[in-house]
Amino acid sequence: MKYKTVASIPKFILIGLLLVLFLSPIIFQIISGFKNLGTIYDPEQIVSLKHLTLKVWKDAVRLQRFLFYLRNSILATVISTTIVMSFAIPAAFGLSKLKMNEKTRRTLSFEFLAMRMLPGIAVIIPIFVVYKKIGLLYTLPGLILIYIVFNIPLATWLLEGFFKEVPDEISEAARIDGCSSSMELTRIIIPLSAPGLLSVTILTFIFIWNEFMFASVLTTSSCRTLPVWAAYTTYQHFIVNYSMLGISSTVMIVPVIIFAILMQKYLVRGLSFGAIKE
Amino acid sequence: MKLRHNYEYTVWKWYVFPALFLVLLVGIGPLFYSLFISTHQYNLAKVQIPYKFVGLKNYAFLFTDPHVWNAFKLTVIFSTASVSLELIFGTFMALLLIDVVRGRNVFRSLFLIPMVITPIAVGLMGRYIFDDAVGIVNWVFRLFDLPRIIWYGNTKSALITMIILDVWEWSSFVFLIVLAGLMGIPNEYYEAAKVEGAGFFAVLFRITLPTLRNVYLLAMLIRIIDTFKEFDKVYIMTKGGPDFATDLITIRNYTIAFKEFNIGLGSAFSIIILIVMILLGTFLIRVVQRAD
Repeated sequence: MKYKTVASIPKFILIGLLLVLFLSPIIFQIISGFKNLGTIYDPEQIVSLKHLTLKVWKDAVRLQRFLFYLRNSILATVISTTIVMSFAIPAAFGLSKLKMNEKTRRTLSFEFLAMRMLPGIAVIIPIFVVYKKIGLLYTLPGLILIYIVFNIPLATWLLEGFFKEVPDEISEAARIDGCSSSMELTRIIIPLSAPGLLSVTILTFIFIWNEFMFASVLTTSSCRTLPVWAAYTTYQHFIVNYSMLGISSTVMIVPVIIFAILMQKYLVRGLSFGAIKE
Repeated sequence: MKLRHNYEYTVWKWYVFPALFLVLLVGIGPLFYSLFISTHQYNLAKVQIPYKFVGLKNYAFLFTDPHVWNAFKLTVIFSTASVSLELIFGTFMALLLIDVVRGRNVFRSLFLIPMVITPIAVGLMGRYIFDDAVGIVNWVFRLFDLPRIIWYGNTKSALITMIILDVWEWSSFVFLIVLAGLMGIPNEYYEAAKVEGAGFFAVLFRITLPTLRNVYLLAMLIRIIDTFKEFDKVYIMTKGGPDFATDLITIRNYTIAFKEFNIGLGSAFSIIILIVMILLGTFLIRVVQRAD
């Protein structure tokens, strides 16, 4: 009841308008995957739902190797996320729970955060040259290595925040009972911060799934991921293929939307560097 | 006892060093190599141009290249306009939804969608909805008898289209963190203001916004950095065109390095961008820290 000045019916109309503004373009885009190019380029049928068809989807699966690119995306995302977490969990545990010089702790913790500001374009050029020399260019493992390194810092920083919320008394008690640091991590910290772990995992997953710039430089048709394929398939011919645009976009965004709705509360925290704890 | 104490202070290294090592080796290490390449003439596309040391010539060239200055100018405009509009829009949305208790989580989930979906999909969406012939934006314009606009195919409106799309994508980010901030303001503040007879705008400008100062600074920090790094949406929509109208720094750098394959020049440009980002980031973090 803080802002009673806005009456409630106009308010809900405004909220409704905002929802239309934010969601209708996505729906419009998804529907375009069910129209063939003739319908899309007919100015009379811009919003009509009359000639919807599954044909474009069938063609995409049959002719465009889209399942292959989907496989690449899933492989890159799942492998990278798993390895990111297996490096970030111990690092975050060390930085949040173990004894160390306070100044070192602050510096290292800040370093991990600062990596988030590093522009990808500054790293991609030397990586491209080195990869070309050692034969990792245009391979999936090469791309995965970059994804791992670029996602460890933020994952570590966020996990640190979650681990700090586990009361120190519990760790103290465990240590007195003779619990080693590795047991403390696996038996106490990980089980007690399970929701946090899940949210950081999903956030990392989304970041990697959505990534385009590294993938566009470091892959070729033998190992493209979905965003790169989407970019290629839309502009293949002289006209922009809006049907393929709809299909490739749908495949990319539907999993993310499902994750986002399920993990809403934790995602906000992750996207704001842990500033929003609610 | 002393020994045991010292041992305890080294355990953390076993946990932190693997991650730190990997990040320094593959994340930071290449930057030094880039610094090295940037002092060389190095072109992968033209074999007739030999690989050789040229000192600071690449940097000198960039400072006199009008396209580079244009790219910085466009990036500053893009960043300033997008971030300001996102702050205004996000605040408006948060004020609108703060009282809505029932269904708040549903609304939050729905508003979260634009910022988590693949940026490439957002760019492709922009390409489709702003299409001058078959896009839904011009269709709506026609309903209201407004003129047909060639959104991204026109040097005058291309950058504006990018700004609109960025505001569409990221206003919800400001909305979500301002909403969380608003919910953290104690109710007594508002009750006191009510007793004093303060109106809506007095409450907004005297209580709400000053209390949320840090929330806003954080939102600005994250958004300014990210708009300077913007690449995906603009690349997929216009690749910097038409006629360099949307040629942001990242796009310019990408074009130099991976379209012209001028690796030496591209490295030099990326080092300049890196320095700008470090200065900008340090400055913004100082501002945030001073506020704390």
